[in-house]
Amino acid sequence: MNRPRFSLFEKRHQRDGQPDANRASDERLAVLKIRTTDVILIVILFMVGFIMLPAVNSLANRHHRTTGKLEIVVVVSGNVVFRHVYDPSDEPVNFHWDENGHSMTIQVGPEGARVLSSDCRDQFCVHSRPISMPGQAIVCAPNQMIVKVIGSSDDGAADFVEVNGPSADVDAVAGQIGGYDAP
Amino acid sequence: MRNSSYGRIDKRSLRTRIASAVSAVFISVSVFHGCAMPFGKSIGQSNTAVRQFFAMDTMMRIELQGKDAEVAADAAQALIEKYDSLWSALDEKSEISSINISAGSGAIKVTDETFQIIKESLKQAEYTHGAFDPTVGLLLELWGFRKEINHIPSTEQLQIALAGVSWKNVNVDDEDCSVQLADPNTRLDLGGIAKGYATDRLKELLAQYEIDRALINLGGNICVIGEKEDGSAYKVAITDPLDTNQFLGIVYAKDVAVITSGGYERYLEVEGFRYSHIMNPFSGSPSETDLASVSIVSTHGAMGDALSTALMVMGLDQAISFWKNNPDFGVVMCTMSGELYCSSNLRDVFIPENDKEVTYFESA
Repeated sequence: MNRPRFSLFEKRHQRDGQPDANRASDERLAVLKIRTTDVILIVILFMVGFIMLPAVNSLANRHHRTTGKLEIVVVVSGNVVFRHVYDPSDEPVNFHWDENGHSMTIQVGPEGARVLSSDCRDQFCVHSRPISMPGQAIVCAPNQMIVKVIGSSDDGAADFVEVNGPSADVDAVAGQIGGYDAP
Repeated sequence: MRNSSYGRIDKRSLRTRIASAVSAVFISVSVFHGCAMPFGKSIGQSNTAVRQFFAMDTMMRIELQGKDAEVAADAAQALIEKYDSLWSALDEKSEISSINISAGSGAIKVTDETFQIIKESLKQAEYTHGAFDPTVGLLLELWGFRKEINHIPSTEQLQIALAGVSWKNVNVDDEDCSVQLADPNTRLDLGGIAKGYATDRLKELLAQYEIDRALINLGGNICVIGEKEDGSAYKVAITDPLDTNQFLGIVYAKDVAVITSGGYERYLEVEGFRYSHIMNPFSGSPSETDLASVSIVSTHGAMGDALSTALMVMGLDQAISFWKNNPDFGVVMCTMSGELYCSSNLRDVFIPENDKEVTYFESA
């Protein structure tokens, strides 16, 4: 019943044989009305916070999780104009885009997505190899168009998490145009 | 008394403790979460800025971290867009188009920016003994890399175009900042050097804004400034040209540019054959050597860009002997049969994937 308030501290003081030297700090703590148990509680709570970190990260990245399916997304001037779940065994699908006097045809086939034709000045997009891995992209700068392979997300929304090539474990991929974030 | 204080926890005290507990959890989660956040994902921070935009017929992405990151990012984007408007061979209003239109006639006065990149391209053409040549514009057009043409150019057409291909046909005048193309069939095309050159100028620009670190991706031409926040190097992957779903390996990059050329990114398909977009300035045809890709690691972006093209044109043996005489850059080459060759100065920088066998070559 008459246990001293800072029993742990005082025991240590007695062991050290220097009770006077630590009395001042004990008194300061007493002014703050902080008990040993409060200190322990704060430490425990910090540990709980640390343990919760993976869960928080998981929640934060929830929209980045994918179902394993791949989607081909066509973005023109920042707007998604075409989405198609990519399955190499499906029959080829053509998407024709025609707007503001510009036109392009994108094909999603066994090899991936490719630009079949474009009225752009440089034809770089037409001459780009088909893309089939998450993060790969074909860019048509004159038409402000990007064809990109993305992971199909759980909630069906476009997963524009930056995947700069075949693996997310690198910072960039030399020679690949990919790495385009959300419009 | 103590006991009574334990026993009499009033509502106010309880609320304070609950608030403290919740705050402690929130603060600890925030602190740990913040610490765990990699540089690339910390877009919302005030000293990190990301810009992505179309320019130079590709996609640009710039990620900066430093004191004035936002202002620096705006300046960087403006610089690249300015270069694009000056140097596009397809934009009739660009300075390069003005020079090309006047081929075989008078000199054209240009801005200092255009003048400097042309001089740099000539320097690299001389350095690579013409394997990189900025005057292949007409060849690119003939082969259909500028417009939709689905046929191979005739021998006569190629001969006419080849007559104009030589960096020696470009005359520059330092005094009045003018450029003249001596042959009417010479056409400048800076596509093989512009992005690399731009990274060099970006580095100079960003230094003025106290940028600590940057990851610059100009359509696949990568340039990193500094190192990652945790002190590690940036991991820049090199695509396997024979299986573009795989990597050849990772370059651990600090303050260097990593630039790759390969026929796998852009090509022309005519009658079932695929032609690389890399022009051989000696033959007038798309490059066909034993190399599938060349990656250059260099502190000099313009040189790296030009060299990646030049070494592709040279082929493996010539490329190795070129490097042995000029070992001031690093190179990783993949042959058409999948063999990997690497300069010895990249032994600790380039780590091959899946324990791929690498043949290292030493300098002379």
